[in-house]
Amino acid sequence: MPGAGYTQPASADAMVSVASLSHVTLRYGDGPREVVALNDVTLSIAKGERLCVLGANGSGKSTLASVICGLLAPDEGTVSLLGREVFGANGVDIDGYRLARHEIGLVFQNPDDQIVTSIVEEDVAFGPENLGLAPDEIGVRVDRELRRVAMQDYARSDPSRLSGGQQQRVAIAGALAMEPRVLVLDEPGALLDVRGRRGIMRVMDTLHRDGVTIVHITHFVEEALAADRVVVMNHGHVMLEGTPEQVFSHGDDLGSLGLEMPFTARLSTTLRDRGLDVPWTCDDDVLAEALADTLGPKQARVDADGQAHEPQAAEPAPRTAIQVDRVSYTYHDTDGRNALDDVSFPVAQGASVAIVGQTGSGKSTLMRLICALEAPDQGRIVVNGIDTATRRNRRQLHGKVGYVMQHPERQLFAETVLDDVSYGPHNMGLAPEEVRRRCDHALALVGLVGKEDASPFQLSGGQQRLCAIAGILAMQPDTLVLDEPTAGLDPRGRAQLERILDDIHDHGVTIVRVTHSMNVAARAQQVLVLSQSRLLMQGAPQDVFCAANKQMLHDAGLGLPDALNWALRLGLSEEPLSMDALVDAVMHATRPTISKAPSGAKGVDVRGV
Amino acid sequence: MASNISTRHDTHSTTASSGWSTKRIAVTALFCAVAAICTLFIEFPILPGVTFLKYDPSAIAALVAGFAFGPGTGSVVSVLPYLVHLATESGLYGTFMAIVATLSLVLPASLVYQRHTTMRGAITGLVVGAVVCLAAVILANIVVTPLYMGAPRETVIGMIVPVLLPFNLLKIAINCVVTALVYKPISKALES
Amino acid sequence: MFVAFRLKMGQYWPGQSILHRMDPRAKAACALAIMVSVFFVHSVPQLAFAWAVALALVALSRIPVGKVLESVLPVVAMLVILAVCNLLLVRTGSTLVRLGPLTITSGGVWAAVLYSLRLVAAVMAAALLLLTTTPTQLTDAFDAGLAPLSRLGLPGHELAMVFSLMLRFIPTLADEASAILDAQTSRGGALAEGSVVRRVKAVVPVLVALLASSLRHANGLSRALDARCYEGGATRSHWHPLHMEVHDWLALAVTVVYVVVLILLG
Ligand SMILES: Nc1ncnc2c1ncn2[C@@H]1O[C@H](COP(=O)(O)OP(=O)(O)OP(=O)(O)O)[C@@H](O)[C@H]1O
Ligand SMILES: Nc1ncnc2c1ncn2[C@@H]1O[C@H](COP(=O)(O)OP(=O)(O)OP(=O)(O)O)[C@@H](O)[C@H]1O
Ligand SMILES: [Mg+2]
Ligand SMILES: [Mg+2]
Repeated sequence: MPGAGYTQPASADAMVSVASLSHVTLRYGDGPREVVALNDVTLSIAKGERLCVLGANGSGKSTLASVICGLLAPDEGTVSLLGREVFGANGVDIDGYRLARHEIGLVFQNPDDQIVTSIVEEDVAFGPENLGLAPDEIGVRVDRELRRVAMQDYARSDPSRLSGGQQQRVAIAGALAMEPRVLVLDEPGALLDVRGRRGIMRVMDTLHRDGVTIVHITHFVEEALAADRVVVMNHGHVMLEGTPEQVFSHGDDLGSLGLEMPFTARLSTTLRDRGLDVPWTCDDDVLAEALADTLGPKQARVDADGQAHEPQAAEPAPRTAIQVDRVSYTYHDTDGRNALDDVSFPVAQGASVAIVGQTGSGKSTLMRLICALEAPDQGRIVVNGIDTATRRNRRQLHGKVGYVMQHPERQLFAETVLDDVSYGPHNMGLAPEEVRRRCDHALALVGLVGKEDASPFQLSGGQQRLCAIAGILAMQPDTLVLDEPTAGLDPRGRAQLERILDDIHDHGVTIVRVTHSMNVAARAQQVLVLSQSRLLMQGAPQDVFCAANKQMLHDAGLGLPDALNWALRLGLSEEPLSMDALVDAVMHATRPTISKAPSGAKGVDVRGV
Repeated sequence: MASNISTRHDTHSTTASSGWSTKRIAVTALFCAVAAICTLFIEFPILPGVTFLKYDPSAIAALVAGFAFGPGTGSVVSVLPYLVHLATESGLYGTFMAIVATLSLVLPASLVYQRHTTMRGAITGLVVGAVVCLAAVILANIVVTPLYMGAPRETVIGMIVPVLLPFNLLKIAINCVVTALVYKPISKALES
Repeated sequence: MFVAFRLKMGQYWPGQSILHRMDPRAKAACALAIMVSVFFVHSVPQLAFAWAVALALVALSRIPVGKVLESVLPVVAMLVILAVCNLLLVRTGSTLVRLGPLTITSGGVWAAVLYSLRLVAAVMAAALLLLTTTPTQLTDAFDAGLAPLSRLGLPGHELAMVFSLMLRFIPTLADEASAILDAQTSRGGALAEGSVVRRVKAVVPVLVALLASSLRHANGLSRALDARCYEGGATRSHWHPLHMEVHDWLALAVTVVYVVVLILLG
């Protein structure tokens, strides 16, 4: 009887480790294209522990998750799940795996793929139905779990209409409804905005308290701090293992593993390098106290108006690249609710603009209009002096305005990387050799030289992203519009992409990008804050991200850059937006003699991204 | 191709291999969804001006499925998507006609290709499929159309040469050509 | 082609009418019977009877008439074509008009009216089915319809699962398709205009991208199905198991009577 396995006191008590892998190796493909996804991995997960798995893209995290969930049998080694050896010398134990799967839940990156019916509550019931439970029992579980993830009000709605964060919570409820003893979450927040990710973390906290064993895979090192134990994967090996403190103390190695230190750890490290006497720590409370001592009593904050920093706007403005003027837009089949409502702003030639806002606030819609894919219902948008109102004008702009949309890798289509990249330039009617020249240049920019003849579908996730972006760069647009280009990339990938964008921007290309990270937004020259399809604020980062706006930003589901949060917490007088500026500010506060005035957003720190 | 993909399905498998694998269910469902979307909005008038003779590329999704995953999957993808239409434009008539047209093209083509998984196999498959399809469509018209029109069978038979033959030939030709163009890049995605 | 578009799958219209409360299997069977029965309609009394019943059903469903007409609307194009063909091709009865090669006969007019009206009656039945039945119920009905297959050892349950997953993923892929079109438009392609060749050329990239992304979804989906212990229909239980009430059997009986009467009227 499936499901009966759930209440087996015998195994439940006897067991200390819910899953243990020893010398597990798993290979994909064969012959020349063989990939060793897991290489001699030995790992044991204790009952009730909260384990966090970090690692670069392609390091084998998802594969590890599948093995722990009993979805993949390895090639070598032994696997015991819930106290029963399911893979070992005598091969695969199908029944063992079946029972194990009943008690191990999995939630992964893309909520779309995990929701299998068109009504929320029926999706949550799907698992229990597969366990063959009685109808009334199913009803009880569905209510309970929807409540636990705070989705009970959406029980009857259509999942494909919910925001990513809500969908992900439904997926979690669906896994929990099977009452798993272990829940594996594979980058559950990768595609979500700040608020959505916070929601998921909150759910995980409650589950952990309820005694559910949690394995959490993530690219956000900050999230690892909540774990009891952290494991770092690299090329299928377990490289580092220990408490968050222990793991993140390997500062320099982390970089080579495609990771970074949490902000707090980086801050304490830098301060110590600058000769300040603070302990090295990942715990912001500890650091805050230590600093409070060195800084002495908080200075009265000089309210930061005007002279602290002069916004870019004041400088003699170059000609505008994009003029958005009282624009409103409504999708035809949505009951008259505006996706954009009376939005106006100018973008200077060669500027770099960051757009922030929680999901559904209208960011992507704004992008589509700027890229002349559609004309606004009201108001007008002028790009490079061309009004997007008429079809002919819009046609002219295609290609001049490069559009890197959410998950650009989903648009790859050609047989080879080169064909895909040359699609744009070719459509522009350029001469073959010119097309080729531009493609080579673009591929060089994103570091995909040598991959010309590979199929885009056989690149790694990160490379596919870069290939898609190269396809846009090859058209050499003078305005580049990007919609969350770093979503789902590991810290190394993010840093690389930031470098590429900085490079392009230095060549005078106007860059407009959507981002969920306030730290990234703070590095732009102009920040736009969208909230519920209206433009909440706009201006230089120093003007938008300041103590005065903290509450307003929070209400819009956003926040302040880490550096500024720290400055406020420490009661510094400056309002730094980057790590370097923050450190300067702290040093300044401690030893005024050698103070260097921080320079707003200019102290760029790629690692801070 | 068909063979080596179906074997990929159960490497590292931890489930009893009885009935359809979840992998097969998922792939079939998604291809059906693609075909349904083709019928729903990627359709366009095949001859500029003649607005009611619409072409939609749904059959291509079915053909790709048939080549990649075998005749079984191909047939499912040639039938299920059109059921979505029962209450839209076409009603019983259109649904039935669409299913006949697609199935009669996909099933023979994928059966041939399954025997000879080579370029030549694919081409012969498409040719065979085209012939069978043409015959089936004309037959279906002769049998079913009179149920929908007062016109007697003779009239329908009279329309074969001027209307049915050219239109369907064009449609089938497009399906085969586009499938050939689409399959090469997709096969790479199928492997990885 | 289409612009940014979100499809409302299955135009279900919530309600508590007798039609809403019917067992989906019975409902589907009745609807099919009615849809097929229109083929027997050849005379005025039959037409009147069929329409009377169709309208009665609309009234029973308590769904605003406008809503029903909305779902019949798409058929109009097809109806017009049909009517024109009938007008021109049917040469029975007395000649009414003669314009050069075109002759319109009384038989043609009658055929145009008859075949259009009976088609609308059939479409109304189908529309009512979809309007009063949730996608899940439809799938259950479909599952039941495939039960004979399962008994023959064919994958009936699996096909039902495929069907419901298809319904689930149509909106998702529709969004993706429009994103793909956006991307290619902004790269100066994907404009289905001009000659057939150009249109066909434009379709290729869209299809490849769409199929590739459907393969990506399929990978995730199969992982999800395994993780959620889907092991074929056999071992599953149902949260809301179907069972035929008295009124369902009654409805079936009434439908049989209706079909018989309809045929007798001819
Ligand atoms: N089905 C597959 N067939 C062939 N190779 C695969 C398959 N799945 C993963 N791989 C390869 O195995 C390696 C590990 O993949 P995996 O998805 O486990 O990494 P990951 O750490 O989850 O990456 P990401 O952070 O991008 O999710 C990668 O090199 C990947 O290309
Ligand atoms: N194609 C569409 N059809 C109908 N409504 C849409 C469509 N696309 C978006 N919407 C709605 O318009 C609003 C704005 O959507 P948009 O995608 O611009 O938000 P966003 O800020 O990009 O969200 P996210 O951060 O999740 O990408 C949302 O309420 C969304 O539901
Ligand atoms: Mg992964
Ligand atoms: Mg968006």
